[in-house]
Amino acid sequence: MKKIIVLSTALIFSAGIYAQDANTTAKNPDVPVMSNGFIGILGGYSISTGNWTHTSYVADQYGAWLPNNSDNLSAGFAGNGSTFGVEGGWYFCQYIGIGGHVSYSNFAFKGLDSISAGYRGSFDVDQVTTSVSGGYSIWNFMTGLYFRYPLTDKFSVTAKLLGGFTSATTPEIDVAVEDGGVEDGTFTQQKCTANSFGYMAGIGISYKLNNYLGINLQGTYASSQPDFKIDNTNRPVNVGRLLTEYNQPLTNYNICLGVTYLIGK
Amino acid sequence: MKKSMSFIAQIAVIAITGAMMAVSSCQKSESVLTPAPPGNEFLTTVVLQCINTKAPYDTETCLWRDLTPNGSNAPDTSEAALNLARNSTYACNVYILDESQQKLKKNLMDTNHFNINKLPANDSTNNVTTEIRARQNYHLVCFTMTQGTGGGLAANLSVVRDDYDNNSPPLQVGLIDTFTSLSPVSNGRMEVVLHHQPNVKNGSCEPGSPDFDVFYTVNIK
Repeated sequence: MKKIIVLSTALIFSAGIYAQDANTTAKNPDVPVMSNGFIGILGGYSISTGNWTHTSYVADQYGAWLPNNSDNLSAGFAGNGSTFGVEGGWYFCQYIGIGGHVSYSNFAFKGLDSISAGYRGSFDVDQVTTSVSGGYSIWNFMTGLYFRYPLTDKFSVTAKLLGGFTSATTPEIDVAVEDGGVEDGTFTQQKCTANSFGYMAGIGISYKLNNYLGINLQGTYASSQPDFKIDNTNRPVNVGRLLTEYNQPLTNYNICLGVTYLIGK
Repeated sequence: MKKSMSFIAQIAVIAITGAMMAVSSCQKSESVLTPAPPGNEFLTTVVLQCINTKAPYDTETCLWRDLTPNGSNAPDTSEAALNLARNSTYACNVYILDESQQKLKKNLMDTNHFNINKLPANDSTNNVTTEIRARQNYHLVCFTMTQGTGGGLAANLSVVRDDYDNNSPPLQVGLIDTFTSLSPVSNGRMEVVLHHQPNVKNGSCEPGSPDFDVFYTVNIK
């Protein structure tokens, strides 16, 4: 009788464990069954860092912008922004996979007051009106390695290391000059698009909602360094900030939420 | 349980997608108007000093002064007369001063004693010429002769600006000039205007607005 009870109890527990670990592998019952691949969307907040966030307008005592000043040449007036993208991957083994990532990020223009005051001082006029159309935008087309490590059958730690093509666009800056009641025209620093190699690294945590859907929270660091050749129009006078080239790292941190569709298991 | 999990999943997907779209789509344009700060300097005094290139002792100085730029008093034109010899060439300088805060020292303030070199080197209170020179890329001094006696000043006095700015190509400034007089005795009025031409300087006098607009009597003797 005692043997029957022990055996029955063992069967019941083992059945329970089997039921509970329906998502574990047959080879290794401690390792949860995980999807073979995923495709998903992600979006979140982008924090720009580095020289391109600087808002320097260094001028001499007469307001003349100093064209050889390193702060002037590196200042990019980039603020924070947002990012949105899609990515997918295929795990060729339990923890490592390959995948691709396409994202679009935009960054606000920071320091509009500073640059406008700088232009006004450089031209020594009654007023200037400085306008920017949006800010920087960056497209990333990247591929690379994806990593995951299951903590439970629901939670996994993820990481990725990607590299690829980046296309970035600078904002357009228009400055309307007025002095003595006379409109002295509007000059423009044109939008400029340049391409370069970029890379991205990130870590995150994902949660499996069911067999087909997961959500994740990830932090990434991205960097690229396009060489912008900038056109300026209606600049007959060599006065004030005049940037014809900009070649600084466009670095940013991203905090993203994502939703993934899980493929295979 | 399965149903509620599916519902939560749907809500999560919709919420996250909506939030991502909303955040990603806001790339707004901005505009800001920046006025001039108060306390700009005044251009109260314009000095024209001409040295005969063949007879340097023949140095002529004329001075136009308005210490009340708000117009409460008429400008002082008692020394605004330039006397030039016939058939002569003069190297001229235009000096611009601000005496609204601090009058020139007595030994400098009239045409007989004026010497720009006796002003302290960094005297930005008085000598605005340095600042105009620093801002030469968008300043232009223009000279206009009006009819007078003896065939008219316009026919008997030519003015060539000799200094250039740093624009590409360089444009004339007019703080340093060559005046050439012809033979007939004549006189007339010469209007001297400092044009402020931010973003519009093209070598001509039309664009921009005047920083000062003064008149001198010119006598060719």
